[in-house]
Amino acid sequence: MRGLLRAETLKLVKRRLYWVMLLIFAVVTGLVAALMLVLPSVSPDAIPGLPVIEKPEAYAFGAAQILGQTWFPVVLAVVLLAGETGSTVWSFALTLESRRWRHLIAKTLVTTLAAWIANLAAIAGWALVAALAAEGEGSLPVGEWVGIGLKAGAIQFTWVALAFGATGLLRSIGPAIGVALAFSFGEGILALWRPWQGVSLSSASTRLIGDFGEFSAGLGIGFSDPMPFGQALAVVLGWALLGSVLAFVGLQLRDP
Amino acid sequence: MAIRLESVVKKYASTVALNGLGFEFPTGKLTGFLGPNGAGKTTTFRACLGLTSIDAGQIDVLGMRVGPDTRRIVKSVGAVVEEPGLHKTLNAVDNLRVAAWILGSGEDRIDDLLEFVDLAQYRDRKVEVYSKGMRQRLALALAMLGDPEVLLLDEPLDGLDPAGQVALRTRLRALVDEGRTVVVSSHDMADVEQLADHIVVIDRGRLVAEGPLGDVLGDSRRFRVAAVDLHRAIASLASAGFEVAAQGEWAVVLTDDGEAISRTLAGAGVYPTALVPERRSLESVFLGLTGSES
Repeated sequence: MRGLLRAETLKLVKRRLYWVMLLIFAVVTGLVAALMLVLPSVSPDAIPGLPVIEKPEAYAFGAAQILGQTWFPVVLAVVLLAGETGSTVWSFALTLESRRWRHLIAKTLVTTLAAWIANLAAIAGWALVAALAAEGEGSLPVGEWVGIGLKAGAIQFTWVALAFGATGLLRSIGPAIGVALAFSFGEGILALWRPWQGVSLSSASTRLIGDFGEFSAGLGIGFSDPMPFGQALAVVLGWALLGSVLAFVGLQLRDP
Repeated sequence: MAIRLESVVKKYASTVALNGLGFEFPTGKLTGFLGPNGAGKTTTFRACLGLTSIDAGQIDVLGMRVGPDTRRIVKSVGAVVEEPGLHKTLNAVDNLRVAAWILGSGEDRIDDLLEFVDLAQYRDRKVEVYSKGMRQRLALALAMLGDPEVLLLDEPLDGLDPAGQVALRTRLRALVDEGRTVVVSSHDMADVEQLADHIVVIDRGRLVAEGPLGDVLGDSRRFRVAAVDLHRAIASLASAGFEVAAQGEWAVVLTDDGEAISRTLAGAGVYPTALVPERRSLESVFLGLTGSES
């Protein structure tokens, strides 16, 4: 497994994809930070009605914004896996190590780590801007920062697994990205439906990373009855398990 | 036998790709695996590597059964199936490193293999700028990483220029001389005729012929004889009981005993300027066997 992890890491860092996506992620995060943190300080009337987010809430708000950007793990995971399954790279890899599950575990771990690092870097960047530009005083307790980091890892893992699931079943980049992103948006809307909320990935993620009411992204509608933390964690990991199973089944049952 | 297939059946929906296929790839030989496009050559390779599941029959590779022993088989078999599975954004060394790490061995052989396939001077160039021949040679190095006993190469000479073909043939022969089993699939008869010791021919998923190259081509049954005095040569051979006919500058003799022709002519005081066995080309044998002549 160590060799597979090294191989996946080398493939990832030597591709332009990851670095370009990091750059895009930084630009998107920077724009949101400029809009939400810097602009209200330098020009309070520039956007009428824009709420002023003060420290320390500004830190957690930024983390929630960043973790809500599911496109990053989805696109990264789909392109990495479908780039191989759509060519002879995948079948050649199986002539070196025939156990598909080992490849899948290595890919999931390395891609999750890469997405997690991107998230942590973006959160750190946001925190720096917030520290310099946001009004108010104070910071989050260390335990809360650690919690944000761990929750970020869990959420990235889930989206990577779901993206791999879509890729394992569909094999090609376009349909897999389309299905994964459609699920991301559709599931967010479905989460407003009370019977679905108990298993909703959006509800669970929101519970983990925090609901900022009027500051929330998307529809701005909060969940009236937030699920318990343990249930939220179980739901997030349950979706990750489902994605991993779909990926395994898709890769196992179809010829490479 | 390095690889043995018994009654192998593989179906894709209503299409039967392998239809009760059974043959052997002998150990320590260079086998030409022939068939027209769509005959089932690639499917056979994939089945031997566990990439494609089979619907019936069994495949043994180096005494191990594909299926339960696939994990061990792939460690002993180097393969390039269809297009070489190269990471185009990586250079040659990184491609070999990635493969060695996945395989779990071979990292210490990278420099030697790059020398063997004559890519040492291009080791740091990204594969996306490689020519087709360079990619084929890198694919061979990748297949060789685990020091495999058996090499399965799918159309390795396809698309190479003449110099590239000669270079690759030389390397494949060197591998066989080291005692390895090499199987080269091709639809190009000329490639295989120059390369192979043993031939397996399939068509529409069925075995058409297998055996040593000479056996598949068949013994020579005709000789062409040239002599300064052709009429006297023909008369001598005819009086000795040979079935002989003039054909332009040549006398064509129907026999498989070239030595008897020489003896007869020498006895009559006629010395041939040429005595050429007429061997059927692999291409004509192949076309005859697969019924593709029309």
